[in-house]
Amino acid sequence: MHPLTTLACGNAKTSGAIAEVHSHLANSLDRLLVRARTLKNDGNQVDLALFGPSLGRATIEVALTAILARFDPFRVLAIRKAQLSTDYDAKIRNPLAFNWTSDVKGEDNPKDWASRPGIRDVQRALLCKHFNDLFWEEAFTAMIDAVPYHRGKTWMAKLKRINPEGFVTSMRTNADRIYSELSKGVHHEFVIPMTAQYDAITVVDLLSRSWELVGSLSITSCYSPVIKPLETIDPLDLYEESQEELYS
Amino acid sequence: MTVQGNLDRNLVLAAEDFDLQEFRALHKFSANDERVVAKLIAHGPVLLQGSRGSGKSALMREAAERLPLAPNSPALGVYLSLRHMPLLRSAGDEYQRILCELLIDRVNRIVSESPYSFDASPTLSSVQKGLTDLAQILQKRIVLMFDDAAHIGREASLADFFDVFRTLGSSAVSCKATIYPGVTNFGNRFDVYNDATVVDVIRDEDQPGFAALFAEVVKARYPELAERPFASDLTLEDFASFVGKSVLGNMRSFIFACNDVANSEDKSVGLPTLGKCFLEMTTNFYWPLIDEVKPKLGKYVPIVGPAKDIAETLLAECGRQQNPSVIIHRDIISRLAKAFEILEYVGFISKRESSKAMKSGGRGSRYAINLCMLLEHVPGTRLTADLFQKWKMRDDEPVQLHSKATSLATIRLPDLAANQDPEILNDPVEVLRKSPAYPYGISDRMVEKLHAAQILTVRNLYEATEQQLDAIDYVGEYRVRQLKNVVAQAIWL
Repeated sequence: MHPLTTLACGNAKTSGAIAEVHSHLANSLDRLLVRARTLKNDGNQVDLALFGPSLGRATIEVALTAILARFDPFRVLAIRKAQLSTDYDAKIRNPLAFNWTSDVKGEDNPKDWASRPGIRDVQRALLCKHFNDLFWEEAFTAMIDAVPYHRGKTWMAKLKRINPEGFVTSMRTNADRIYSELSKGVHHEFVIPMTAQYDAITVVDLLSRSWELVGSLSITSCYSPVIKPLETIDPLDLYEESQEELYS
Repeated sequence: MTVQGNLDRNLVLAAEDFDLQEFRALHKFSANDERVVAKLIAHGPVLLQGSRGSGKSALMREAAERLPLAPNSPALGVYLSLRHMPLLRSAGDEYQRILCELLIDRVNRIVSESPYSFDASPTLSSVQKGLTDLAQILQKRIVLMFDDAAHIGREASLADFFDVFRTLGSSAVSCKATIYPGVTNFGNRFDVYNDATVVDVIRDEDQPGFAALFAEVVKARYPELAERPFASDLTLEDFASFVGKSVLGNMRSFIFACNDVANSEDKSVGLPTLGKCFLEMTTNFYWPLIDEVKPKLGKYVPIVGPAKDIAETLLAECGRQQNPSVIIHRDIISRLAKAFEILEYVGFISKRESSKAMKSGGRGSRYAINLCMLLEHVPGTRLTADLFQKWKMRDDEPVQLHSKATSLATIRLPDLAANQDPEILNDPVEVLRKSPAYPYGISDRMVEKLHAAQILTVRNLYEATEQQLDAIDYVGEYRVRQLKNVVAQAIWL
């Protein structure tokens, strides 16, 4: 497994429906990372413009689904259940499918805790305010207090400049921007040649930002008391190996 | 060229002052720098953030040089330094018009020797259309790199600048600009995190390639120093890494330190050489630097006094404990934020972590302290082998300063007046005399000659044309350049 795959998905589950989901997400993410890195190192401008945005966007989608599943398996198990249903029709959009706005971003102004939210008001999007208040701020604070000064390389140096209260806002803004830029390449929005805007260096930069985003969320999640710790391996080692491997 | 000439040449510090060949020979980039350059070349709005002398201009110029007007170039890079007095003094439509004129002139220079042309009048809409048309003809993106846009002494223009920055960006045009951490005011219409990606120029000793980068710089800029014998407890890599760490990764300060060591008469470079260099840097570089910067800070001038008090407190406390790392409670930081930003800007301290748990409860930010300045406050003021190892290894827990227990608690920041022009403009031209703040300043005789020519203030000198200066008796081509350099140093951050 690629170190970033293990960092994002955690150790393999041994049984049950969640093991099946984990296995699928981990294998998919692993292939996406390896393919994207090969594409980057090959440096073919046309291939990068055509395939790079798709690989980058898929990497973000799969990795963020995997991280969400580690915090909240309910969501991915519900999707699985819907897909296994006899009524599942591939031609029709599945209302339970993973969705960027409702599963990652969340609403812009969710109900505050002081406003006595009901269960329907509490959001479960990965980077929403409620998720931050319940999981991320605690995990990020634990991480920046625990990581020694000389560990984590460049990605960690950047994370350490963020305040715990600003972590999720920063990640959400970043994720939204990268996803939007990648999506323009995926949907072939341009009628002029793709390479005019998605030149090699722009696509490589987008891929690099995607990996850093996934790495940042993955390493932080590893410091949440809610998440099952990785077995026999230090997440910081994986975090550093990911940077070495992806930038080599 | 004489040795002195060589040394003076080594102290040309602004990236924009080098011709391309020199720039390429003397500027080195680490793997992390390469990633920053890639972000500057790639599509999308980027704000490059870093303190004075951190190397922002060099990175931006390098990115622009990699985007020539050539068929195989992925985009066309347009580097534009906004060190232009009328921009500093204008606002609103007038600011936009002047900026558009500068941009039109720059693009026209780039395309002048090609079959292409750039037609635009000095309005934002016309420049926007002209750039889009040019990108269409070239079949490639245009990357606008605005250097020195952020002048913290004058905030009004910055809101105007960021309006231009946001408006010109499109699918065909990418805008990039350099900014200063914390002290750049973006105006109400620019959302820094939604309208651009902020990229920090970070050089800290924990980054891969830190030691190698600074060793490369020594070899490129000071080959004679790289060839000199080092004492048994020091190698070139140790020297470069330790000095780089001591100046908090600031490239400009590093060059000054190397220059000092290169001028040393010590037969071999050892810890005593470094110790002398650090004390010299403290007296003749860092403290004069904050005095040099002060008159450019506009409404923030009154904060410089408290900022110096804070620096003295931090240096005394950390010096006593021989510890170059300090966590300061967030209540203190939030109350004295602007003063801390100024200290970061001049390179006295560098924020390494925004939030860290403190032993007695609460949280604070961790700063690295400039080791050159710290040495002066260490008992004995000597860089001993033990101290060298201690600072190199950095195993100690940081010093912790809590909200009530330190003399920082008594420091207050004054209220600030409304926007003001940097006061340096109205200072008499005598302030530019040779001094620690202006090591390449002007002579008494030159002051007399300028007075005789009715050039009485810094503003008069800046506004004088090269022809006007050349016409003054005693001033020739060399001195015109010297005058223009020293006045630029005085005005621009």
